[in-house]
Amino acid sequence: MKAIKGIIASLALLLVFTGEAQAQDWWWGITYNMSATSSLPGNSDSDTNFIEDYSFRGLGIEARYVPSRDAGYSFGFNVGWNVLNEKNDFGTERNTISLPEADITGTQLRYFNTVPLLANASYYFGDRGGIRPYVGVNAGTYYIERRVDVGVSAVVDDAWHFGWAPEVGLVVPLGRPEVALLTTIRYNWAFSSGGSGDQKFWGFNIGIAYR
Amino acid sequence: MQKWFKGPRMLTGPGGLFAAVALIVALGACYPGDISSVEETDVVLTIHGGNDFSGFNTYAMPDTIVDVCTNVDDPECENAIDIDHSYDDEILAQVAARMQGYGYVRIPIDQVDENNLPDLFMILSVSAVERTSATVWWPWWGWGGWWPGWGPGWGPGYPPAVSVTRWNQGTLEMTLIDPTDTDPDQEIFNVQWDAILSGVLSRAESPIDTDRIDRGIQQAFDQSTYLGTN
Repeated sequence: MKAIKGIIASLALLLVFTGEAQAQDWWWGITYNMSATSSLPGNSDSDTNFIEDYSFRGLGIEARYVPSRDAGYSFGFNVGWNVLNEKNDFGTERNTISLPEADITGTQLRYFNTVPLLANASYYFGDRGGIRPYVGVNAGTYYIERRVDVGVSAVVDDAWHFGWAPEVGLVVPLGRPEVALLTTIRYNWAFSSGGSGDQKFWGFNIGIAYR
Repeated sequence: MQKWFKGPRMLTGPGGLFAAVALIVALGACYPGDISSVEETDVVLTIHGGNDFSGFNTYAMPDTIVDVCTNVDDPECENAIDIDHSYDDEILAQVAARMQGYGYVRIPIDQVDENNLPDLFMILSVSAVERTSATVWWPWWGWGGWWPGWGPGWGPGYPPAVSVTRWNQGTLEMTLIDPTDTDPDQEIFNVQWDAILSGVLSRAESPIDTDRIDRGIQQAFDQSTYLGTN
């Protein structure tokens, strides 16, 4: 996990300084990411119920290229880190893990860490300089690690997944045209990979975008 | 057009403050969650290996729980703790009740010999030393004379997905062994089922919390419903 921290921190710094050189055409943003799984519609199978709680831990970086001043669309990419966690006490319904040849019961600490690396295309409604709702679609890869700590034991799986994420959001100017509030609701759907089933989670991101 | 966005201001402007707070919140909470009591460290692991229990009808069980470390001169037992055996009868009775509930008929251990073998042996043991999955060993001695040659050096295999790093002192183990294809001299034991209750008999907690033991035993059988297919 230290490696992931390092990668994200380095990438954030790289984007900060790259952003200055590209300021005419690119919007750069940093977002605070919140996540949720099966507490919301869309997650019905066991894999997506791995965590049944909200999370207020996460970070995202957005880059969007607007081809011209009047363009109502953008292309770009984003990278994020979403963490979900849950504690299941001994004796509760979800605290036995069944494996092909064994079963483990105990107080569980469950962790879901994901790093999405996605390309993005968005279409913006409204007029330039005003509040602009938008719709977008993301596609790319997700690194997902699922971990369950039980006592001194741990069951871990991790894999790279292809996936996509439709999103809706709002861009709100903050007094000057070069800076805006960026809010996004994104439904992340990572396809099954490496023995892990489809992974789905909602992302609620809020941050600042610059150009 | 004026460039508002500049690297240094990223760190000092209002946006920078937001970014810094977001970064601290996000990176500072990698693995949240914590264990807050000793009960929350309890683990019940049962291993069945996909075995079919439909052919087993009888079992025998010694009237004691075997202590792994009785020889304090054994280097392996250097850090052994005292094991509280005052609850042996209660534990054995619970196990017998659950075996009966799954339909097994118990053969008294003093009636067991080479001509009157049960389908399974139920062995209960408790480890006085901390151990890892690589050094699981069983004290197959001193419980009635059958298979007197048992000694340390062998243990059940863990499924690959189970990454067991350590079992606490005072771990209770329940093991079902099929005497068929078992050769103690060769340290070959045909284990059909193994249940491990981490640390429930440790004297570190005084007095011993019998609720933890009861809960662990019940859970081991509850999650092993395949035992009732005989």
